[in-house]
Amino acid sequence: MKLEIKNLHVFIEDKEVIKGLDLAMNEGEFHVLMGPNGSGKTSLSKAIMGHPAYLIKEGDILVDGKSIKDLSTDKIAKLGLFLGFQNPIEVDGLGVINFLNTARGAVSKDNAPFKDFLNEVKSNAESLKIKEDLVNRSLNFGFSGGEKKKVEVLQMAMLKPKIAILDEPDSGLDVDAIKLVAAKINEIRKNTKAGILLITHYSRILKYMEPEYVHIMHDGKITREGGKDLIEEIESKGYKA
Amino acid sequence: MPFETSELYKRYMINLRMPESVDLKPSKEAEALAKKLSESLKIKFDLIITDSEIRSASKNIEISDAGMVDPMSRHYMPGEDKVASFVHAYAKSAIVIRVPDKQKASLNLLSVNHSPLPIFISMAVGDNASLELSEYYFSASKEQSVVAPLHELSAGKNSKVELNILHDENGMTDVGNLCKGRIGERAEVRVNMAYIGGGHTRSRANFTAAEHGKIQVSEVAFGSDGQKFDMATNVTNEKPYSIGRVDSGAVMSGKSLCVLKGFAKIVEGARGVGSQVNQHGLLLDPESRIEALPDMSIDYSNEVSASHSAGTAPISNDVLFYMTSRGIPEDEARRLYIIGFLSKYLTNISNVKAKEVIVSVLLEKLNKKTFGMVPNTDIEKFWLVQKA
Repeated sequence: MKLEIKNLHVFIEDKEVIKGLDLAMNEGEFHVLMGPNGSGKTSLSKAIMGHPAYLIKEGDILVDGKSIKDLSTDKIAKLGLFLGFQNPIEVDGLGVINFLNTARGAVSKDNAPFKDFLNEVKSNAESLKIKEDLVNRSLNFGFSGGEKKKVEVLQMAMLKPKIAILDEPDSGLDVDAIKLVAAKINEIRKNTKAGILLITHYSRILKYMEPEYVHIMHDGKITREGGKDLIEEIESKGYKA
Repeated sequence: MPFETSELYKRYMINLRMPESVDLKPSKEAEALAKKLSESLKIKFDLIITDSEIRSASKNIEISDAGMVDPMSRHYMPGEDKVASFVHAYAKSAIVIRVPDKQKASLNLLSVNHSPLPIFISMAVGDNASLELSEYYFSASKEQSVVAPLHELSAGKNSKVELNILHDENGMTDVGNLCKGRIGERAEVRVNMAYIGGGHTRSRANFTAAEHGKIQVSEVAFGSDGQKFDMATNVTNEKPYSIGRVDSGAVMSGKSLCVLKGFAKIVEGARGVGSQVNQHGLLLDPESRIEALPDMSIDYSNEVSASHSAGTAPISNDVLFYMTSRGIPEDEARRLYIIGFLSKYLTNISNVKAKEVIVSVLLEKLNKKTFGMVPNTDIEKFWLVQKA
């Protein structure tokens, strides 16, 4: 799968939040998108996934050469795109297992027996040190910030996307949890050959990962691009340098 | 101030439409339907009520002439409530359920009626005894009717009671459900009510907890096609260390209306008590309405834990975006969200079969947009049912 973003202009009502952004990535590649607060990173992720409040007024988003800007969010997900949310939504009453099983049926042709699916959930949850009772509870309801982030990665592991956009998977996590989440994302990438677009403010999670491409975003645009050395420069000099 | 004389409550009170004449005629349809349901729901019914008869197959249940019940032993007095007055005026029979001290009983009641049904159900649960009573009310026809069961519960010391009530009558039926009970010392009572059918529903529940007594009421209404629900639940912490909790939920669509009135009272001297009233609604279209009116009265006490919450909203776009971002189509996401919302009010039901029947009726309404008809379903198909 190839994801291309061409001269993208996105508005929330009358406010332009993405101002002519270009980016391209292939399945299997590891990209990092960094930038200060308010630079438009989360807006970009939501626009890619077709959030109805984010209006694309110019430019395009292509998957394997075909525009997805008019597709509904579920159809975009079915193409193999996944968004790990910065602030996962709480859905009281809807069990994690039920949600995951429904999503599995929607995005894949995985007809594995329910028992095998449950074992896979259990195995992935264990490797993320997610408490056993958590997957039997309502989706994200009453979870701590760290638990929510781990469950996002669990969903990614179960749904096996071709390209995953992970919006700040490290925020709200302690050092040990960051290592754990980074290791799990590395494992998923290795096993599924998924492309990763990891959005973050800080370099701390990237110490445990090997990104290939780094993009710096500022005021709705990509302002710099490079390799992993760019992360070290940002770490020492900040975004304003 | 008596509960329903408050101007605020009167403003939202829904009047039941009484039939012009009450004709208790037997029907073959009710008998046939009761037979079919007994088989298809795979539940052993200990009490079956049809137009022609009330029959019991349990030693815990006694059926007597309504006039033979000592008026002084009744919790509800004539004139106290309009449904109580109706039941007092028209009830032919009284169902008395007795669970002696230290005994256990698990009972199922099926009501399939065509004619109006005013009926007393008295539950006397002894000390250290337990009762699980699940009641299912369906209509046997599409004709206008009134179904008005009047429950009176006396829960002895250290007793445990679970009362599950499902109403899925046709749209022409007025449902008046009354529950009144005294929860003895250290007794635990859970009352779960699901209102799915019925054109007009008027529910009144009123419980009083003694020292260390616990009362938990969960009630949910799922309305469509102009259905109206008026639900008032009142719990009183009468003695120290008692716990009272009311959770009310409503999902409304198709110009339907639901008024939730939850009232918790902590009596003077009832120290160390816990009291909660939570009311939440989900609006599926802009033409439906949910009014949540939580209310508390704490007469005097400096050691209480009391809280109330209320909220009504449509399904948010952010929720739908989150769910659809996992590939789930929007219609299915809405359906899952609604089921999740409704299921919160069924979590206190420990009787798996009762929960399955209620879930199956809710799903039938959600999927086929119909109510008031017998669920055409085999509950064994549902994954929640634990296979032996």
